[in-house]
Amino acid sequence: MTDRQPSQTAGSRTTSALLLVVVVAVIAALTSWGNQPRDRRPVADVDLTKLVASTTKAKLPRAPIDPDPTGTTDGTVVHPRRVLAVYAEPGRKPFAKVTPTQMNDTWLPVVEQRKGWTRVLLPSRPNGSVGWVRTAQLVEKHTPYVVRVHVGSRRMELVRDGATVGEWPVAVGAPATPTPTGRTFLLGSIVDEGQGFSPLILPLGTHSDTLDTYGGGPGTVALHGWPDTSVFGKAVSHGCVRVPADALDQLSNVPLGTLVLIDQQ
Amino acid sequence: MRTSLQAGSTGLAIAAAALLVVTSTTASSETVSSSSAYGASVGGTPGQPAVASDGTSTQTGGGSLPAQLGPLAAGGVLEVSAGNDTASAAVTDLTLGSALAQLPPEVKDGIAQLNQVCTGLGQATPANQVLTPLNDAINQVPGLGTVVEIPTVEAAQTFCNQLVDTDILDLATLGTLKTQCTDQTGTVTLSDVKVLGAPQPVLAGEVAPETQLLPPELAAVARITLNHQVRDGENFTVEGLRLEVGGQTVAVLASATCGGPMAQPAVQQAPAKPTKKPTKQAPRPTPVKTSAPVTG
Repeated sequence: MTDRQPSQTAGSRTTSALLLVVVVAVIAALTSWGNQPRDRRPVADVDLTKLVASTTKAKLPRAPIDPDPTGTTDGTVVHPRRVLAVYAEPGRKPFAKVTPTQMNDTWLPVVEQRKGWTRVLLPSRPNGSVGWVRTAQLVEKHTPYVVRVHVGSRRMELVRDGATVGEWPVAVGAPATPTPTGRTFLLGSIVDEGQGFSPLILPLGTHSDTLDTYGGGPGTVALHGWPDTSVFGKAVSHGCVRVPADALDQLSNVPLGTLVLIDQQ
Repeated sequence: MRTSLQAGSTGLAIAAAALLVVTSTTASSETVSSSSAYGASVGGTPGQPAVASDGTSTQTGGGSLPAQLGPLAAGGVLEVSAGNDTASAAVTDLTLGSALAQLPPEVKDGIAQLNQVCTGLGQATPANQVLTPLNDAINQVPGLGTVVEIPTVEAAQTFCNQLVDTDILDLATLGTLKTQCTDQTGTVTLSDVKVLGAPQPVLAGEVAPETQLLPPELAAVARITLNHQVRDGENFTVEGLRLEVGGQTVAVLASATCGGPMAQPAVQQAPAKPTKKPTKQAPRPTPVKTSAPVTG
C-alpha cells in the first residue's frame, strides 16, 4: 500500500477503514452469537422423505379444505415433474408431498394460481383437501371436460367445452353409504382383476364419508361400469358412481385431473 | 461519503483465477429446470467463477477468491456446480479479516489509540470526558470519522466492545461456506468455524435465512447477511454471504440460483431454458393394471 499514488491511497484508506469497521464488528457479532442460546429458525430446505405422500390412501388432517367446492375452473391440470412439497399457504411449512405417479401419472386440477405457486385439489382425506405447490416443477395442460354427477336425480353429465356431450342415468350411493358431494377429480384409470364388475375403473380424489375402508381400500369413490344394468338410476352403491357402458367408454377418453362436480341436484 | 465508497468498490475489480470444468451428465429432457451458481461477485460485477446449466447436464467449476476482496475475505477456494434445478457454491478455507495486519500504519495507530481510550471507558467518568477523547480518536483513523460518531456513553460502550487488538491477524476462518439450492429451497452451511483462532462448534451447521452478522446500529454503515434469499418469479437465489456498505452491495460470496429461466449472472455456455409453451390438452389416460379397491 505504501507505493500507491496519494489519491489512490486516500481512497484505499477510506475503504480499508470502512471494511475495518465491518470486520471488527464481525468479531463481536460472531462471538456473541456463539455465546447465545441457540435459536435457529427452521431451515428452508425441505426433507421430502419426512412428508406423507398425498395419495388416495393418505389422511392429511392439516390440509386446507377446498374453499369453493361447487366452483368450476378454466380446465388447467398439472403434473408434478418430481416429488414436490405441498403447502397450506405459500411460504409455510409443508404438510405433504405429491409424487409424479400414483396409479397412473399424477394429474391434479388447478383451483388457484399466484406468482410462482399453484393450488391444486388433492386426492387424500379429508375430502376437498387442497394444497399449494411450486409452479416451476409442474407440467401444465388443459382439459376441456367436466364431469357432473347429480346425486338427487341420479344422473351424470359429461361436459366438453361447456356443452353437454353425454348424459346418462347412473347408480349412486345408497342412503347409508351416500356418494359424497363436492368438487373432486379423475385420479386414475385402472384395470383391476380383483374388481371384476367393470372393465375399467376410474378412481376419484374423494372418499366415502361413511366407510373408512372398503374392500381393503381406503373407501375411494370411483366411476365404473356395472354388469347389472337395472341399477342405473338408483341409489344402491357403497358410494361409487356406477355408469352405463357407453358412458364408461366416453369417460375413458377424459384426461386425468378433470373436475368431477358432485351435487345434490 | 458515497463517492468514496463507489471509488473503493470500483477499485475492486475482479481478477479471480477461474477454472471451469464442464461435465456432462445427461438427464431427461422432460424433467429439467435451469440453475446457475457463482463463487464471488465484487462491486456488482458478474460473479466468478460461474457456471450455468439448462438442466440437461451438470456444470462444475472452480477458482479462487478475487485478491481485491482484501481485508474482507481471502484464501478461499471456490467450487461451483449447476445442474437440473439444483446448484451449489462453496468457499473453502475462507478467512475473514485476514488483511487486518496489512492496514496502513495510520489506521493501525488510530485503532491502538482507540483501544487506549476504550480501556479507560470502564471507569466511571462524566460523559464529556468519555465522548470527546473517543470521537477525537475516531477522527484520527483515516476515513472512520466520516462514518462513525459516538453521541452517547452507551454508544461508546457498544463501539468499544467491538474493537479488537490490531495484533490479531484473522478475525474468523471458515472451513467451508456452502450455499445450495434445490428448486425453491436453499441452505447455507458453515463448517470448522474459528473466531479469533478459537473453534466455535456452535456456529457450525445450517444458518438461518437472513442471518445478520453485524449489530443493528451498524446497519446504516454496513450489513453482512448470511443466507440471503431472493425469489424472482421462478428463480430462487441463495447467497451465502452478502456484504453491503453504505446501502450498496460490495460483495457476494457463494451464490446459487435454481429454477426458471436462466439466472443472472451466468456464463453464456449453456442454452437457456425454452420459453413456456402454450398450454396443450392433457393426454387421454392409459389404463394401468393395478389393485386399488373402490367402494363399488
